[in-house]
Amino acid sequence: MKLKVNGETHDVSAPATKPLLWVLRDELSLTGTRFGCGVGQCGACTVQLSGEPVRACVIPVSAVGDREICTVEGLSTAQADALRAAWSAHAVAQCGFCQAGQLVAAENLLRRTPRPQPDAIRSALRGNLCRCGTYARIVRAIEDAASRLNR
Amino acid sequence: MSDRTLFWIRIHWSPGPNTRPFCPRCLAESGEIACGEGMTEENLEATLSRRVVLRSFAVGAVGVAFLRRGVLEAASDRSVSLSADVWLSIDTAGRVELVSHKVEMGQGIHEAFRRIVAHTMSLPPLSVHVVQASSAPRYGNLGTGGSFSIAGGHRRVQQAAATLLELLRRSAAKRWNVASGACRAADGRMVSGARSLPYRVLVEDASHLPVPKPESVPIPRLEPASLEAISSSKRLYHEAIVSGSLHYSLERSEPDMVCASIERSPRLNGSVVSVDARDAEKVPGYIGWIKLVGNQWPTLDHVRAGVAVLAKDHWSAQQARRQLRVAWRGGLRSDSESQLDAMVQATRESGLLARREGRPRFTPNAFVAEASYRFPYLSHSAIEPLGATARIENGRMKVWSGCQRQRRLHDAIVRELGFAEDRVRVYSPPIGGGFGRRLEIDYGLEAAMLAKLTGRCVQTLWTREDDFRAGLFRPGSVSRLQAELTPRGRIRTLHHRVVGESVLAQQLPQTLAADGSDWTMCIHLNAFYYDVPNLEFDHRPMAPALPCAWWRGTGATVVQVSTELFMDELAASQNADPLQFRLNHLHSARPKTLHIREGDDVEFQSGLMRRVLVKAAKLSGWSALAPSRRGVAAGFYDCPNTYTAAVVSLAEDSDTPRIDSITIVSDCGIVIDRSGAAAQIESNVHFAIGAALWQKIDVVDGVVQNTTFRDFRLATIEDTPRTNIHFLRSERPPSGLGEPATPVVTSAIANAWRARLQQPIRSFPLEAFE
Repeated sequence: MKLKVNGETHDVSAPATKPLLWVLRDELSLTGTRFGCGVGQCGACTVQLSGEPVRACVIPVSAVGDREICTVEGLSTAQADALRAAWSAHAVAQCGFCQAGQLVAAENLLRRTPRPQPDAIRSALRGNLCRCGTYARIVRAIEDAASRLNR
Repeated sequence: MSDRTLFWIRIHWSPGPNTRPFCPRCLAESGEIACGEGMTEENLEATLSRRVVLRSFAVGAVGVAFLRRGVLEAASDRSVSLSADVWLSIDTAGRVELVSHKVEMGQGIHEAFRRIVAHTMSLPPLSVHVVQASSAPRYGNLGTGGSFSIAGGHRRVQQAAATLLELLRRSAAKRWNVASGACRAADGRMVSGARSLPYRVLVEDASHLPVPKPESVPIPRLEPASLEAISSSKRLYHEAIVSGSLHYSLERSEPDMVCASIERSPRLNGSVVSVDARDAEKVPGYIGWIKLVGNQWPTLDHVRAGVAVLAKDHWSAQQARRQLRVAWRGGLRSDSESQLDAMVQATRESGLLARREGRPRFTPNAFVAEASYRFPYLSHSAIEPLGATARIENGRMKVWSGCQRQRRLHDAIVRELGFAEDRVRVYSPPIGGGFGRRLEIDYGLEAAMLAKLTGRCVQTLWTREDDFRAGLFRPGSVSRLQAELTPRGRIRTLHHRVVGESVLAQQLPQTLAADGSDWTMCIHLNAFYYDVPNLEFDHRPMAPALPCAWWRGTGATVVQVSTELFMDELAASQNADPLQFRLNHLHSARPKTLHIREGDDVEFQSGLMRRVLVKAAKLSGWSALAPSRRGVAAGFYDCPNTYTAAVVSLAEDSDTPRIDSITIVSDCGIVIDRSGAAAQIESNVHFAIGAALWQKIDVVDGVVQNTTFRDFRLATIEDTPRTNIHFLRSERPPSGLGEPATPVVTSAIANAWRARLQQPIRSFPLEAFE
């Protein structure tokens, strides 16, 4: 089957039921998308399908169809750049394991809502768990990225 | 070996026999410095045997001993039992490389070490590279935990950096024919008057100079101001993290690797009766199954019996495992609630003495206040799942796995799988959250066993359910306290008994005292910090029932929390402000010596504890907060010497405990990396929120009931309170922050909830407590 990932089309052969997460990791070596819980509860595997954040660990690859997949490696919008800069400026990451999922979710938020209130940020990222507790910095970094973009 | 000359310095501490693993105070100030040419982590293995050790010497307990040519490896082999090494090198291209003896798991230790080297050698931090030490004997008994890394590591890293710099200085002085005192370091260059040379030009000459004795090397003070100045530079790993390119354990990829998913016995010590793989075989990618016999718990390095399903990738292995039918026999039928009930009973019986002071007998007929607190078993639940990659190559076992104790895994492979000491290497990539779980090595040993059994390179991956079901937990415990107060409302006599599951009794029973005492349960009792004249503290380790391990703040999350909850109850009984009540019991003007364990005394300053409390009260606006929803707590971590205070304010309208804001003040000595230090406290806050409010592992009939984050709730971004963190300016040496705030914040939350409920707390988590 054909998969459109990060702007390129790939021919992959995988069982129809194989989750998108494992196709990305095994077939396309896109390992920035992490396995955390396997049941869609932690958000470490968040990718975008047609720009919307989804849990790649519970989406069978056959359900993707011709929708565009965007992983952390392919995030390249102005929003993504601003977020990465803010992530560094606020030293958000600790162990970093969940951060790809956080960024993918945050990028979607900023495209939908250019000036998100803290409550909107919390609501958009509530499914992305971080055991290190980087949440306060995530909120600040997203606010900061938004204001950079709106400048 | 490349044609670049590489000059390296190795600092090797040899602590005495009665040491706490990795505890900086226990690591005696004796050691050796060695140096030589031509080392990097990658090529050292190959070159060491034929390389000549040019110069080295030892000081301290071992006396001055020149190592003969080529005996470095053997020499370090003899003295590695409890040591930790620092290696630092500079090459003729000017690349400075630190081989870190501590692993990175989000706590920022590599970044902190990099800053110490940069600060000490007057280098931009970006020019200092950090690589991770393997389990090779020359790196000593590697271990990362107990909040010890900065407290124990900063001076060694500084000494190595200062020694290297001194050699470069002497090399410059010789070249310019001036006194070495006339040469100063600035931005990666040696400068004397109008002359200046970059370090790299001086490396070759420096490598021919004799190594200065440690006492002759000036170690520059860690200046908070100049440490601040480097804190805005790009942090290690951040770029890789935000681009998704950082490689954790699971990103290890070997050419002929197979993937394994292990169905483990649902009960401890259960064994396999039969395996039916007929349906599993139909799963595409399935390769086969293999039985892991495991060993009998309790034991050091327990591995559960299981059936490993091998497949060409992890998803296929998990799918095939789901189709596998395994019949199990036997196993322990422990039950977490009954075990906690038994602990409650045991607090009514006698305990093993930890600390007695004054005349701790209660006055006949006096009123004695009493409380007991029940602490459940807790999971670490890092987001990165456990797993490891193992391969045998030319009779050598190599394991790649994020591991807080690579030497423990190394030793277990030697002991359990019959490999020679020098035929094992454990490499630790960055860890996606440790919290104590990766001080254990079961996941690594499983992979090594599978590699040996199959002859293939095997990568294991635990599912989330595996992480709970085969978890090793924060010991379930019960504390009981009693106090008699004076008419003026001061504590005259305090008794504290802690009964709990004992990690030592489970893993290292030979290290219990003859009477069964577990020193790891006693140290936090012994670190009790309030001024109370008459004390009797004792403890009782339970016979092992449920598998336990170290967990962020282990003993302190029971002992300190119980103390801080009881202080609030006593204050309430006097209608006293809980903050003032604490200050009333911190009046010593002079430092006190706390006797932590045999041969291990620590200085405690009531004044510092008062300062963190008063500052937290001021910053939080304590007196203006509604008494019915505010909570305060303090905590002293004896090792490292960290003083912490927290004030919590609950949300107004909530029927369940919801935290509105939290203020934390810490005195952790000189702060090396302010942003990283604050991040550690933020992390503690979230650990404490989950443990205080929701988390509890339930084991019924020997089987762990929790299987997902739905039944072991982690704090989310919506649970994050407004947080204000403040570090007191300090001249004390840097201490540590990995754990100390967890018990303090847990206590402050519980105390606020007690104030809200107007009734004492008796058990955790608070949401389950009625």
